[in-house]
Amino acid sequence: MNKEVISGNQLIALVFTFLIATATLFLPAFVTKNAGQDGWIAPLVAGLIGIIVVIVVTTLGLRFPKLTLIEYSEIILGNWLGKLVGLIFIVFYIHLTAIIISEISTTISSTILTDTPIKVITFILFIITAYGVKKGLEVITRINILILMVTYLAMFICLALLLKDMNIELLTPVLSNGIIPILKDSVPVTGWFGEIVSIAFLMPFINKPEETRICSIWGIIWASVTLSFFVALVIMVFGAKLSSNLTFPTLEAVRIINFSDYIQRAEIIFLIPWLLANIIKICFFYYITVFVISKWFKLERMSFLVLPVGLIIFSMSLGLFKSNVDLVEFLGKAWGMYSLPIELGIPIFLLIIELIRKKGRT
Amino acid sequence: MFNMFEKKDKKPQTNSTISDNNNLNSSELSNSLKKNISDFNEFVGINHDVNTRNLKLPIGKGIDASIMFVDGLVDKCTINDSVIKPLLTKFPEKIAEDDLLDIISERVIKNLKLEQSCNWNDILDKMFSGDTILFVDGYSHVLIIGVRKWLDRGVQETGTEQVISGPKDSFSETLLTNTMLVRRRIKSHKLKMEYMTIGTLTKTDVILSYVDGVVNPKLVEEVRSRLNRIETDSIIGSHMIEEFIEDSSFAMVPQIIHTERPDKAVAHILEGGVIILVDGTPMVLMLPIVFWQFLYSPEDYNERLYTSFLLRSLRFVSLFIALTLPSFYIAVSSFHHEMIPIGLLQVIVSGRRDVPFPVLVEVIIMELILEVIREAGVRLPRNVGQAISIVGALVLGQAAIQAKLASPATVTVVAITAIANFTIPSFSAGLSIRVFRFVLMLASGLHGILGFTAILFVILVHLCSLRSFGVPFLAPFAPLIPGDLKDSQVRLPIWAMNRRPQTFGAINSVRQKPGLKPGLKPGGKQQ
Repeated sequence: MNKEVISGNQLIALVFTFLIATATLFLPAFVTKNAGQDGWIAPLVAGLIGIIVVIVVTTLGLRFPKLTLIEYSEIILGNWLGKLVGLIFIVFYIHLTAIIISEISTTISSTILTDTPIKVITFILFIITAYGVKKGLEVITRINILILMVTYLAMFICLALLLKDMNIELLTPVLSNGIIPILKDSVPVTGWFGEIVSIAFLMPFINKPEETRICSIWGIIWASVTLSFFVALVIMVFGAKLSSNLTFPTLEAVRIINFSDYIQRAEIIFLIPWLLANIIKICFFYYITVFVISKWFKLERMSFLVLPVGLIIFSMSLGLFKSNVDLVEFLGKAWGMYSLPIELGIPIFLLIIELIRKKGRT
Repeated sequence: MFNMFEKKDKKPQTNSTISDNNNLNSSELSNSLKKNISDFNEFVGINHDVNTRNLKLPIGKGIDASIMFVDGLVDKCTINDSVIKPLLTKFPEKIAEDDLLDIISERVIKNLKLEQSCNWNDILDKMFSGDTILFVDGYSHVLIIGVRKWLDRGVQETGTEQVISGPKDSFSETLLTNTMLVRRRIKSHKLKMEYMTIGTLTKTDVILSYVDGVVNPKLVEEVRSRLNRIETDSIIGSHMIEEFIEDSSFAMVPQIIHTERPDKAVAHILEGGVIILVDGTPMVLMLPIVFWQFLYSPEDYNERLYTSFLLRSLRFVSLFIALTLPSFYIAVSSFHHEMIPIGLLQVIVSGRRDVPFPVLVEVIIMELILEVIREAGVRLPRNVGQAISIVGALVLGQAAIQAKLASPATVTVVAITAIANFTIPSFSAGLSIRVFRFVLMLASGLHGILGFTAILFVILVHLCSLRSFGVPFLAPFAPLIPGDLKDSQVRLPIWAMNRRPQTFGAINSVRQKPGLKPGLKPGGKQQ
């Protein structure tokens, strides 16, 4: 049924993009709350959780080739319970996509377009991502690689310009408070890494399904190393105390770039690729949401769902959070505890039942 | 819905094609020359350029014969020397009456191309393409003598795709000249040229050319079927063919490259592509293509490696400038002042102090004026064209600044953009970039960097979703084909490109022996 095909290296790039796109801005503030200068370890810990999710989901996926989580949960749990699991995922994905959108639109409205109403920003995002989703997953993954090249280039430029503002001593002492604060701080980060559960819906698209696991794991490793690098960078620039109090520490770090009094405030170098990567991320989760809904209703075509589902998601994102502060509070305190049971708990539950009932191909 | 439209469209078309050929197909030639000539006059009607020459062959009492040809399409000297002269003098002594035409074709007429036919349709087609027809009394078939010759402008230097070093010849309007130019570069039986005629009235000759054993047969089959699908009465140029066979008609960028350069076309088919030569057009269609080919020039292969890398990068940067500079300027100077370094901001602001328009309006006015000048420059007579366009632009720019209608920074931005646009080797891609630029300008005037990024994303999605004959338009970057990056932004030395690019699905991927680097012994063996 699906003609669209994703290759292994496209999957790595896709996983990388949707893991780091929003996290780069918010993450350094969360992981320095308790762990202080050790915050850079937290993304690596969270990456491990992500790898566990991947292993669980791909084990399930390989047992039910060409099927998505929505379909095989019905086989494993029976019609009614299976439908219920599907419904949970539909609601979760609508909510998740709406959260991602409000992360991005509040960031835009509080940094670059301060006078523009957030409704207008959301509407623009809606139109262009709906266009991208209509064109299909294959197109999204292809552009992703192009954009990733630009993102990496921008990251290296920013890094090179920031080198003289960094102080490596701010990272010491390492592990002075033990491992517990790091584990505490890695909880909100696992929320981001748990988004990797989306590959449960991607597996039918991948040309070699048995490569899904290793490719996703590479994507996670790459993303967590990059994220931990970002955290370290921010700590080296601002110190742990200050970073934990900023809303967008990475952006602030880029803002202080002052290279020979001429290249100042290079945030534009950072923001355009960041915006592009995030549009890709919205597109991806928007696509997955539409796809999940179409699978749940057992529809052959999904293109007519794009606009109605988009309207629900985007209008929901407008009402989710009152302000920037509200959003950061939610992401820092509730997000990890809310998403992890769904992203990790349900797949593990499904896998256990499946191991007992042995419905799929072994 | 759609079926209904199709039916409506099809009916009149089929009717007209049938009525076109009906009377010709049904009537056969007769034995009598008189009947044939009167039929001929009836079919041809009033046509000043159709000439008839009556002869009496010196056999026995003399046999009536008649020669028909179209003046201007034939080589009259050849007709005189090798058709009429031998027909009137040199006949073998003994002749059996029934195989006169065979004897004439085998032993009398001294011409290279000769065939027999008995179908009016065929005969008239051939005659109007420039062949000469010989009717002989008593025979119901005729001799068609190939003596085509007409004036063309010959092989000249290319006008639109100049290079400094490298071959300078270019395609011309005559199909045979063009096939000659291609054939001269690939002297192998593997170069195939498939011939077909398209258009019931124009009968345009079209040749589909590829290298057998390199090209993917599926691609050739696809192109052939798309060409065969065309049912029209007239094809005037290769652009009409392009619109009939391209993948998406409403795309903003061309998905087929037109080239005047034989070396470019030949390089394309050697990499597994297909070219289409159309009679009457000095441009050859190259397909399938990828977007980056718009940015590459044949000259990249004639210069040093580093130079060609730098030139390609320069063109890429210019593409980016041509696409985004004005919109970036608008976005930053009307929404995000804080992102401009203070020194530069002072310059921009002091220049703009007395200008009464917002930046968006200012830039759009200047861009529009520039487009008008550019368009007028194409139409102006050659002797005055360049002078007027340069003076117009200079005077206009200077006057606009002094009258405080535009700021110096704006004029600079617009001028840089215009010049950067001309570094793109493909003219039609340059046109598309101009359209994209205006959309980007409007968006960033409305929503700053967000609008800019949004439209950039839409453009990327659009380009990425295009396919040219099944080949993704942004390959080998999206999707990533690592093996093909050897000839992308960076060009490797020729001896390192052992394999053909896989983007076009070439079947025989090995192009040369590995280990041809100068200084190495071939194959790495000791001699």
